[in-house]
Amino acid sequence: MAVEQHREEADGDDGFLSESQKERLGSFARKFRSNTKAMVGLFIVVSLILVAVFAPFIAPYEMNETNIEDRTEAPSVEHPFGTDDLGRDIFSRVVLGSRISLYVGFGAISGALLVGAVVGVVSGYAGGLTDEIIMRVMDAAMAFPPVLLALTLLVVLGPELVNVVIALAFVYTPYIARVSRSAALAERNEAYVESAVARGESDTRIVFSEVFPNCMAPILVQGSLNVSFAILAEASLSFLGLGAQPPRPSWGLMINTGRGFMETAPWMLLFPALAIGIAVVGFNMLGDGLRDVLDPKVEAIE
Amino acid sequence: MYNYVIRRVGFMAVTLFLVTLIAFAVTNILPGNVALVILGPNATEESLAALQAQLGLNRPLYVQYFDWVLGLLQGDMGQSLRFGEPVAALIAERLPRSLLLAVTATLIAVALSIPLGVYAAVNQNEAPDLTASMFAFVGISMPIFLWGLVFILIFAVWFNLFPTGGYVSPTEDLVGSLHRLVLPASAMGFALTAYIMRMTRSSMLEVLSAEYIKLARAKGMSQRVVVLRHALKNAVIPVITVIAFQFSYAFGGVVVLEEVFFWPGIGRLTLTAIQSRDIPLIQGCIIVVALIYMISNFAADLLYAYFDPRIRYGGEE
Amino acid sequence: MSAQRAENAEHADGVEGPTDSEAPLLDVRGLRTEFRTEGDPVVASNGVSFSLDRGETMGLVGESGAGKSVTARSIMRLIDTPGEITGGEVVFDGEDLLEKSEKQMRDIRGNRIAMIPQDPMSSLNPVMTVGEQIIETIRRHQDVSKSEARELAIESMDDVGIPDAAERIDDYPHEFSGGMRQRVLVAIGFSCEPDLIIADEPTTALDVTTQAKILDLLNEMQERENTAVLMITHNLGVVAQTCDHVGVMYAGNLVETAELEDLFERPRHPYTRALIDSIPEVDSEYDELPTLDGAMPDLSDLPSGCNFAPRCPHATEACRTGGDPALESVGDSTSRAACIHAEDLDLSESTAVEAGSGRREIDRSGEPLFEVRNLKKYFSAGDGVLGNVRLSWDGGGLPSVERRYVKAVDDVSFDIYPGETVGLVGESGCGKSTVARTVLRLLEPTDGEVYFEGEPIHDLGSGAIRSLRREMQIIFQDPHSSLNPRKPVGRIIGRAMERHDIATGEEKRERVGELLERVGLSAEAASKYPHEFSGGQQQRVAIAHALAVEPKLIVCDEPVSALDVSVQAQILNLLNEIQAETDISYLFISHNIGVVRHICDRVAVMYLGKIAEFGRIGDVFSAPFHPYTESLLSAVPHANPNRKTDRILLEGSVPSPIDPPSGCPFQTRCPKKIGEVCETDVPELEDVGDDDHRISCHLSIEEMSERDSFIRAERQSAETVESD
Repeated sequence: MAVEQHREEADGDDGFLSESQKERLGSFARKFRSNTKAMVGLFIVVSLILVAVFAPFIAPYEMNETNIEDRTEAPSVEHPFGTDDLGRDIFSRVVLGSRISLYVGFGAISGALLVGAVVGVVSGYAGGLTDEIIMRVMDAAMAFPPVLLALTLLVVLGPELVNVVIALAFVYTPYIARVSRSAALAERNEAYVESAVARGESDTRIVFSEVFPNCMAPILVQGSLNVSFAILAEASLSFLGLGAQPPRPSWGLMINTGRGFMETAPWMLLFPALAIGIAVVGFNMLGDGLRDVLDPKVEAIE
Repeated sequence: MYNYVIRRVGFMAVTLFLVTLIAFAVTNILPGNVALVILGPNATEESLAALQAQLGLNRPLYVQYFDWVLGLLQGDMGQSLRFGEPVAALIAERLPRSLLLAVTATLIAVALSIPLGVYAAVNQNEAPDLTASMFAFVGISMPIFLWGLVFILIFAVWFNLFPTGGYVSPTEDLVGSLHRLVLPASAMGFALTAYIMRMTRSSMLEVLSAEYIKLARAKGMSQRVVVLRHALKNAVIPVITVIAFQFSYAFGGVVVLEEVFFWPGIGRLTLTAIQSRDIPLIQGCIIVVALIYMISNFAADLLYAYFDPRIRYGGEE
Repeated sequence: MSAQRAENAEHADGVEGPTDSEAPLLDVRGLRTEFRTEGDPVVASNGVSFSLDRGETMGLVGESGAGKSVTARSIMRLIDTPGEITGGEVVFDGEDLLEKSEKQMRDIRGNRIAMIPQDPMSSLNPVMTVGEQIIETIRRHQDVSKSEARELAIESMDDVGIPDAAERIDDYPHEFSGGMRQRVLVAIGFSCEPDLIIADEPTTALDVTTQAKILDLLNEMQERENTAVLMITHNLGVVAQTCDHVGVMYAGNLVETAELEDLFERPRHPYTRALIDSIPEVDSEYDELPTLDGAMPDLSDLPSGCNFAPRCPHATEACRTGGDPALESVGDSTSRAACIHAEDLDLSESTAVEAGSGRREIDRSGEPLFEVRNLKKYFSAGDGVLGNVRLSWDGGGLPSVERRYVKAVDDVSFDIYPGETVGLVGESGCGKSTVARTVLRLLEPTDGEVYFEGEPIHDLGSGAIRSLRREMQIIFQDPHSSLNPRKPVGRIIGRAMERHDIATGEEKRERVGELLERVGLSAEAASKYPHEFSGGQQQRVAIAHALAVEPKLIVCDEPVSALDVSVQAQILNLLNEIQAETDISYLFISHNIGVVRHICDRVAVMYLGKIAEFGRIGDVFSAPFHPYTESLLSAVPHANPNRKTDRILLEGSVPSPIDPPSGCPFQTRCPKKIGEVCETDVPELEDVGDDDHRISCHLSIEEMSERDSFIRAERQSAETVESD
C-alpha cells in the first residue's frame, strides 16, 4: 500500500501535476478568502495557536505566581483580567490555558480522526454485514452523552490531562466515523468507483486511492467542528474536577474556582469563559466556512 | 408501518445489548475493582480476596456480565457502595427531576427555534436571517454550563430575580419549584434553541428550493400558504430527529448543568458516583442515560414515520 | 366539463377583457432575463420574441442551457434570485404581465396560465394527498365550497384518465406510478381551465410508452378545452407530434420560428438543420450521423458575433464579427431566422447520408466472443442486512417471515460475436443495466453462466476476474460521475495501463496522449481535471479510459443518454469509428430506440427482467413482432411531422419485479393477450425465422405479423402504416 501510494505521488510530480492542479488550489484559496466566516475562523484559530506557542513570552507573570496581598483584584493596568483568589494574574493564566485547550482539542481529534475516518470509510465502502456491525457499535457508543462517557473513562484512567485526550478521542471517534461512512457511502455509488472495479483494481486500492481522497472534505469539516466540541468537553471535565488538576491553568478549572467568587470577583469567571467562547466560535466558524468552500454542490453552481 | 416499527424495535434491542456491553466493559477494566474501593487502599490481600469471592468478582467476566444483565432485566442494578441503597431506588428518585428540567428546556427550545428558523430561512441572507444565524452560532459555541453561569450571574446575582440554584418538588410548592426551574431550564433551552433553529433553517431552505414548491408558486399560492402549508410540513420531518437528539444531548448536559444549579437530579448523582468511584451506581446511571437517548430516538423514528406518509402508508417499496 | 365550472371560471376571471379575437393570446416581445453572477450578468434569455394564438400549440426546442425553461418561467414571472427579468414585454390577453403586481400575478398563475412541470417524481408535495394539491388550486382561484372543489378535483382526475379517481383522491403521491403522477400534474394544470398551459419538458422523465400516453392526453385535453400550449422540450420528436409551430433556441437566443411543416422541410437556420439531422431516426439507416463540432457555448462565455458561428458549417467572417443577428422574416415565408445568410442558404436537404453500403456483415460462423446463458440476478428487497425480511399477516394467526427478492434479471441468454454490437433495449426497470453489470461481475450473478472466449467468468476467482478486466471494459451513462474528480484525466487513463502492465513511464504518457487524440481531444488535456471538460468531452475521456487496456468488449451503459443530441451524434460516430478500426465488440444498453437502431447489429428487447425478443435489427424492427416490441416501437415520436404511426398504447404500468405476474410477464398489459395460456405458461424464446430471430410469445407468427415494418427503407410499408 505504502509503495503504491508513493508511486502515485511520484506520478503526480513527474509532469501530470500541472497548471490545473495549481489552479485548483488557487480556486480553493480564492473561495476561502471570499468566505468571511472561514476567514474569521482561520484568523481566530491561527491567533490561538500563536498565543499558545508564544504563551510564556506573552504572559506577564508566571502562571502560579501567587500574591496573597493582591488577591481578587479587579482588572487594572498591571492585571488586565484581574487576579484570582490566590492573587495569580488571570491574564497570564488564560494565555497559558490556551495550551491546554489546544493540546486536548487537537490531540483528541487527531486520534479520533485517525481511527474514525478509516473505520468509517471502510465500513461505508464495504457495506453489508461489516458495515451493519460497525455502525451498530458506533450507534451504541453514541448513546452515551460525550461528557458522561468521558467522565466514566476518566474514572478508569485517572484524572490526568493525557487521559482526558485519550478519553475524548475515544468519545469522538464514532462521530467522525459516522460522517466518514456517509461520505464513503455516497462516493461508493459514483460510477468512478465502478469504473475502477471494472479496470481491475483491488478493494484496498479503491478504498484508499479512489474513495478516501473524495471523502476528505466532509471529514475535515467534521474534524474541525469536533475540535471545538473537544475544547468544550475538556472545559466541562475540568470544571467537574476530573480533567486537568490544579494548579494547571485550565479554563474549565478556573471557571470552577471563579464560581465561588461570582459576587465579589466576577472577572475570575468571565475571562476564562470568554476565552472558551472565542476558541469554540473560532473552530466552529472555520469548520462551517470550510464546509461552504468545500461543498461540491456549491462548486457545481459556479 | 408495522414492518418499520418492528425493524426499529429490533435495532433498539441490538443497540441496547451493545450499550450494556460498553457500560460493563468500561467500568470493569478499572484498575481498582469494587472490593478495593470498599475496603480502601490499606486492605490486606486476604480480606480483599474474601470480599471479592463474596461479591462474585473472581468469577469470569462473562459470567459477571450475564449476571449483571439478568439483574438489569429484573430492575436490579445492585447496591450503591456510597449510599448503601439499591441503585434502582436512587435513580428512580432523581430521574424525574432531571426529566422535568430536560423536557421543559426542550419545550422552550422548540417553541423558540422553529418559528425563528422558518423566519430566517424565508428571509435568507437578509438582516433577520443574519442576526438569527449569528445568535445561533454563539449559542452553539457556548457550553450549556457557561450559559448557566452567565444566567446566574445576571439574573440571580446582579438582578436578584431568581435563586441561584436548588430544587423544590412541584408537589410540595409549585410556585417555588417553577421559580427555581426558570434559570436552569432557560439556560439549557437557550443552548438547544441554537441547534434546532439552525437545523430548521437549513431544512427549510432545502425544501424551499424543491420542485413542488416551485409548482405551488406556479399554481398562484401565496407566500404564506407556500411556506406554512407546503414547505413547513416537509421541513420539520428531519428536524424531529434533531429535536430528539437535542433532548438526549440535553440529558447529557445535565451532568454539568445540575452541578452548576445544585439540582439534585441524575446528573449530580452520576457525578457523586464518579467522584466516589461507586461502580454499580455509575453503571446504573450511564445505562439509564443511554436508555433515555435510545427511547427519545425511537420516539423520533415513530414521529418521523407519522409525519412522512411515505413511511406511514406502506413504506414497502 | 360542467357548465357550473365554466361559469365559475368566468367569475374568477372578473371582467371579460376586450379580447380581440385577432390579437394573439400571448405576445412576448424582446424578453430578456439575466442572472447576476460574480462577474458579468449571464443572459439566459436574450430578447426573445414570439406569439401564440388561442388554442394553438407552440414548441420551444433547444438543447440544455439554451434558455427555453428560463423563458417559460419568465412568462409566469417565476424567476428566482439571482435571476431577474430586465427587459421586454409579455402581453397576455392584451395586458403586459411585467406591469402587474405580484398579487395580480398570483391570481393569474394556475388560473389563466398554468404550468405542467418536468419531473413527476419531485413536483408533487410528498406530505400532501394528491386531492389536497388539486383542491387547493381550485379553491385558490374559484369561489367554491370544499365539497364542490372535491367533486371538481375528482372530475379532473377522471378527465386525465386516473382510474378510480374517487378512491384515489386521498392517496399520497408516492402511491402513484410516474405516469400517473404526471397525469395528476396535468389535472392540476387544467383544473382551472387556463387559457395557456406551459408544459416544461412534460414527458422527459418518462419512459417512451408512458410518454406516448401523456402526449395523447395533452393533445386531447387541449382540444377539449381549446387551451393554448407552450411546449418546452429538447425532443424534436415530441415537437413533431404535438406542435403547430415551433421556436428553436440556442444559447439564450431564439434563432428560428416556423410553422411545424416548414421547420422540418425547409429549416432556415443552420442550427435547426443540424439539430434535425443529428437525431438517429428509428425508420432510417445511416452510415454516419452528421454532427456539429463542439458543444453549445457556456452562457457566461459567449463568442462575439453569432453565437452559433463557431460550430456553423456556413459561417463567414461577417458571422463572427457582426454581433448577434436579429430574428427576421426569411423571404416571403412565415419563417423567421436569426441568421444573416438565411436568405441565401437552402437548407431543405438533409445532410445525413442514408446508408449506401449497408451494414457491415458480421461473421457469426465461429465461436462467439461472449456468451450469456440463463443469467439471473435477484436483489434482496429493502436496505441493509435483513432488510428484505418482512412479516406477513396474510395467513392469519402468527405472522410468518418471508424473504423478498427483486428479480431484476430473470433467465437471460444472448451472445456477442467479434466486431459486433448487441443492444439491450427496454424501459426503466426492465433490468438492462443490471445485465450489464452482472455479466462483467460488477454484481455477483444469482445464477447462470457467462463465457468470455470460452472462459467461464461466473466461475473465476476475484484475482482472475481482475486480470480478465483487461479484456472487458465499461462506459457509464453519467460521464461526470464516472471520472474521479480528484485526479487529472491523464492519470485516470494511465492508471488503467499500469494496472494491466501495458505501459509505464514515458511510454504510458505517450499512449495517453495518443488515446486522447484518438477520441478527439488534445494530448495536453491529460493534465486537466474532469470538471474542466464538458459532458461530451468527459464521455470521450471515459471512452479513452476504456480503450486504454485494449479490450475486446466494451459494455456501454446508456453512454449517450445524458448528452444533448448534437453531442450524442458525435459520440455514436466515435464508437462506430473505433469499432471499424479495431473490430471491438459492444454490448450497448439504451432506452433510446433510435440510438439502438442506429448503432446495433442485433438487439434484445427486455421487459421485466426477461428478453421478449432477440434478433438482427432489421428482423426485430419488422414483422413478426413481440406485442411489447410492437407497442414500444410504435410509441417513439418521429422527428418528422408527416410520419404518424398508429400508436399502441399500453394499459397500466410495469408490474413490480418483486411480485411479477404469473406466466408471461407482459400478460397484464398485452393488447393481444389470448387467454389463460398467457397467465399460466411462461413462453419460451423461440425461433421465428432463419436468422436467429427469437420471440417469447404464445401468439402464432401470423398473429405477430399484422404490422409490417417500422423501417422506412421499405417505403411502401411506411405508406401502409400511415394510411392505417
